[in-house]
Amino acid sequence: MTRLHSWAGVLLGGVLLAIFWTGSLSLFDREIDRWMQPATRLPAPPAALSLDRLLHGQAASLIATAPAWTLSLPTARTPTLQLDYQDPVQGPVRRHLDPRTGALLPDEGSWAGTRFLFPFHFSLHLRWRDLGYWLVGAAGMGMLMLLASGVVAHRKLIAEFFTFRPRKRLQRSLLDLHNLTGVLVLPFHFLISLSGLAIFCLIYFPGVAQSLYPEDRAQLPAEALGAYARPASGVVAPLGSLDAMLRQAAQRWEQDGHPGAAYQLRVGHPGDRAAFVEIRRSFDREVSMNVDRLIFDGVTGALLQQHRTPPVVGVQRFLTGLHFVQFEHWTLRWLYFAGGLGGCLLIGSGLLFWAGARRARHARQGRSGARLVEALTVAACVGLVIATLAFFVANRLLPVDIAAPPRRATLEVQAFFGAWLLSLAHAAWRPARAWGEQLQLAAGLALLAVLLNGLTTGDHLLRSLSSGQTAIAGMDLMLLALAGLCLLAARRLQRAAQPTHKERALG
Amino acid sequence: MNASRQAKTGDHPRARLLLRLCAALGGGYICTVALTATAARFATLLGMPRSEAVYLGSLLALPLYLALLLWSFCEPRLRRLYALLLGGTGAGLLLQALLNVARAGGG
Repeated sequence: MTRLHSWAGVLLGGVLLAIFWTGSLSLFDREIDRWMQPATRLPAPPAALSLDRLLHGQAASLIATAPAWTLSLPTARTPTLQLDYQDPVQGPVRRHLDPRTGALLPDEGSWAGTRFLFPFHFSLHLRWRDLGYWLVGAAGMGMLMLLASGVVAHRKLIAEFFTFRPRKRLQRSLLDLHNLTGVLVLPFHFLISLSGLAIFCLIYFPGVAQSLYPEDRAQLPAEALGAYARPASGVVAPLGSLDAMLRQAAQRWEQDGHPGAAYQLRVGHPGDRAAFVEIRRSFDREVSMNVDRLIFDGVTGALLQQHRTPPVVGVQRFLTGLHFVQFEHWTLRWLYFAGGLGGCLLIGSGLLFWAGARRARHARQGRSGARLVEALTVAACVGLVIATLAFFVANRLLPVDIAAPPRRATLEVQAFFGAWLLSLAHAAWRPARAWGEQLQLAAGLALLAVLLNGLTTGDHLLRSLSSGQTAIAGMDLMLLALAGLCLLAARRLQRAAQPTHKERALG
Repeated sequence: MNASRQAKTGDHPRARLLLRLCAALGGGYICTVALTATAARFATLLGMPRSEAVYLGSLLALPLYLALLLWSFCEPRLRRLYALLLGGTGAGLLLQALLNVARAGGG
């Protein structure tokens, strides 16, 4: 069991750390969006909206020719109206509208949290044949195996719970930290890994769906999720009142015993007589990410289909909701964040402990440690943090309107991966000093990001705290905390590098 | 007698590891899919809608695969490991074939 734990940890540690790190950040992806897209820093949205009025403004020309578009209603965390549609040249486009005036907010061209960090978490941005999904799935299953084998290997659970000796030798402290974060947060780690796998269980075990839907696989989303489609008629007809449909939807759900507001509308074939509007029910008051949907005729507003979440699908959606944390509960969100960072500490300390033990073993055997392994460990831990901070700093430094390719979003992503590669190169080039120097660089980048936010947007910490912009203030405060932690860690490692009392006395 | 048997099986630790990995990762997966697909088919026989059964099977596959993976790395005898995984897969496939025949014959 211990060997399984070491091998699985070494092979999957880097990937798992990236998943836990971006996952923890994704808990606040909307807040990161506000920080990285200053044009969307609006006050809380009005309680009542008129979609018909708002969409007749500037947005009308954008969506005039799109075959389908999605409208996401504003919330406290995302105070803008979001319009998603497919552009034949640019691909998927997202634009933000002011919910009071319907004015199109300037397109800042940044993927920010919701379109870079969050998808990185579940797909690693590896699209080729869903490779990213499978890697994350393998890592998730590996995490469950690591937890099981870790518990078996460290059976003296209660003793480990109360043991953290930070002043001892680094190896001992690392192992203590590893066991502490493992035991303390064990139920969270288990639940988050299992629920994460449950989200994509149909992708991971396609054989089950294939066995029950041998010829008509496309029927499954229709039956389980209420997916609706009908072909365009070719006859032009104006779209009916969306506000009336929303009112009808709210009434329907109230009658059903599941009162709730809509959070998203999807319009198919707008401007055609066969247009239809799908309205989805919000889940900010429940854990389960329900798939309750109402389909209305786009022209007449008549109800075409009502889908209620079936029971077993509901179980899968409950597990999904446990993982996504889309419900409105700030205490839980922060607790999840602590758990996620605990997971990062767990994996990082495990990797470091393994690297240190390997280094000691090689020193005893008289072999020189492989630089690549050491460098990879540094890159996997500190390099990941540096890459994220480079992403934030690039966002503040790059000009908004870059017309020619590569566009701003691509440049920001290149900054992320470029910084990660540079971290690996630096660690390979200067192995002895890599940790300390990179931790100090991370601290510097975090401080730079806070400074740049104040300089480029004017929402420095004092202003954001006093004007109630909690998202911006929170982001700046977290960056400052990160800088502090990196400096502390750098100091601790510097102390570990110096010979101890005992060694000095003997030597 | 014991010593000679140990010499035989201890001779190729790399080959044994490779066989074990294949059994654990590949064999465990195939066995899981075979058994859960069969369970899902049985659920539909008991009246559960097809879409629900697919979700039920896919969800149950997760703890089943985990259990098979853990057991694959703990079971000391490779022969028993392969026997059980192949047996499970075979049983699942056989039951599904029987269900197909029954459906074709009855429906």
